[in-house]
Amino acid sequence: MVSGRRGEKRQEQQAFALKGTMPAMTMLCLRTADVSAIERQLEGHISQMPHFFLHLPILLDLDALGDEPVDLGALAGLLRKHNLVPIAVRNPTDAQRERAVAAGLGVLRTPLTRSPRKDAPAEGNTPTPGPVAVGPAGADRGAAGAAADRGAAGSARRSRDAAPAPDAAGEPPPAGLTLRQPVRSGQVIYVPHGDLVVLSPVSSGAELIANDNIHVYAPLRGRAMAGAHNNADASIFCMSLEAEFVSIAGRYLMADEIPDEHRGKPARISVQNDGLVVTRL
Amino acid sequence: MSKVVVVTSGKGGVGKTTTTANLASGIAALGYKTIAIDFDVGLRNLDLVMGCERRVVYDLVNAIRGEATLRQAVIKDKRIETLYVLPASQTRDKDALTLDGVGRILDELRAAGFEYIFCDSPAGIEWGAQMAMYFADEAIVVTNPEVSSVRDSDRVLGLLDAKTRRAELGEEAIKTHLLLTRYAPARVAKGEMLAYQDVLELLGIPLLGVIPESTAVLQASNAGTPVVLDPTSDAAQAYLDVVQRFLGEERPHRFLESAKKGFFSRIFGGQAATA
Ligand SMILES: Nc1ncnc2c1ncn2[C@@H]1O[C@H](COP(=O)(O)OP(=O)(O)OP(=O)(O)O)[C@@H](O)[C@H]1O
Ligand SMILES: [Mg+2]
Repeated sequence: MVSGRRGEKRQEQQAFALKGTMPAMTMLCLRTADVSAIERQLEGHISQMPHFFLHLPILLDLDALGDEPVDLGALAGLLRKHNLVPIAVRNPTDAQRERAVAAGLGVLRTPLTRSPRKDAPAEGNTPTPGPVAVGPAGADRGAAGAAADRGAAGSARRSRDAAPAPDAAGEPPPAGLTLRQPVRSGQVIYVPHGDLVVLSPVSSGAELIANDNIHVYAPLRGRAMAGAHNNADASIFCMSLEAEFVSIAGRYLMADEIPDEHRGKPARISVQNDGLVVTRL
Repeated sequence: MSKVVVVTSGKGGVGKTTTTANLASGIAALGYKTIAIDFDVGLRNLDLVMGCERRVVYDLVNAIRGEATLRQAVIKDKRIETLYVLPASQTRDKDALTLDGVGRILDELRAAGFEYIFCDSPAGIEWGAQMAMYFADEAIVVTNPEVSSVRDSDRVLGLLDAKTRRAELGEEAIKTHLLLTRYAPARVAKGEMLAYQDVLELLGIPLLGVIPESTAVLQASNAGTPVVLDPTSDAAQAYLDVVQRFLGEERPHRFLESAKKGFFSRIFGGQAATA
């Protein structure tokens, strides 16, 4: 405003900088235009993992729908109602694109994965956005839910604090969380970026969620979900595999499906050929 | 220095009230000024177990609401000079407890020179249980040797770590003790109950003691005389050991194995422990 060293001034006063970035995001790959069917399934997922879904940014992949009309306005409203944040659609036809714009959503045409590290096996085909816990919910949700949620919020908050915003270069935020104390039944630890390291036992009825690896240097008796935002390179490591449920990038094993020879042994769980394999450490 | 000790469990009917009555009595009998507070508003029964139910005039809720002074609400035990009871209300519900109110009562008790303040928690993990644990310095987690009780205790341990004053202020964590009650070694041997080693492994907190299943406990409750006051039964002996350990003395754990004699008679009698 005031004249003078204008260049410098402008530099100082810049309100923001524009950067390109490519964060991992959860994608809802629609297989039906039936919004109420989508809602039913969504409610199921959310009731199982409320923390995972809270304020989660969502991309909508319309590839499988073709031109089938879908009420994107209603769908976006539904997602917001459940505390999700719809961002944009991907792979729309021209007709869908108009609906997206009308619904206030962004449009992504190009494939998202540009990084060479990811020879992602057709990322768009992965049907499940993040982990889908189909198993029985932690023993005593419901009545105990509220209290546990509050207990967990502390941990989640801590983990968020530990994850600084992306730096100026647009690098993914270095993050992760190391917990020394036991994770007890009813507690949920959610680490949106990086590895989760737990140095004490994880009780049956407790839940660990991380976007990258999960390491438990003690018995893992609860539920562990690594690669939560569809990161199939993630692994789960534990000193004694006694888990109720493990999942990586949407693939999962229930307790009964974990081979007996690995029960109570040090183990790694990772993705192989689109399924989970357990290997002895 | 006064210590606020919550006796809690998550699961109901595992022996919290029995433990509160016996620990408070055992410690008071050694000369410490001690009070046991019943937080089980609506289901008061600490007064029954401690044999002072006929002298209840006012209760915890009255004291919180200022309807009675604390001095009026507290009942002095007739057997032990330094023992007091603050009963729960039978007619209100747990919502009558407020954080401020409970905090004020505890401050007053500290100021009155109580050295040990035992809070008998209601079952569950809802409001009443949270009020009972919120101000605690130490917690005795009462657990029975069965999976559901262990799971609930685990959950309570998580709450003690997260939803208490010490946790919120970032102070040193509440000191937790495991008390395994209604332990029946004969049933453990038959695989009907978890062994104490398994429970310890699952919960990972120090073992304060193991109280055997004993008919003496029920008889004592009905008589309104905590078992520690008649130290002939093994449950009484076990509780006396617990009192000493709680005060810092080291004592070997007893009653972990079934006694050789009477083994069969106990099994066939359907009772796992001698009286
Ligand atoms: N060691 C024991 N041996 C046999 N019976 C016991 C023992 N300990 C407790 N009991 C019995 O178990 C029942 C429940 O005990 P108590 O009332 O102390 O449990 P609680 O945890 O306080 O229950 P609530 O959750 O309802 O408050 C009572 O009938 C009591 O006499
Ligand atoms: Mg009770």
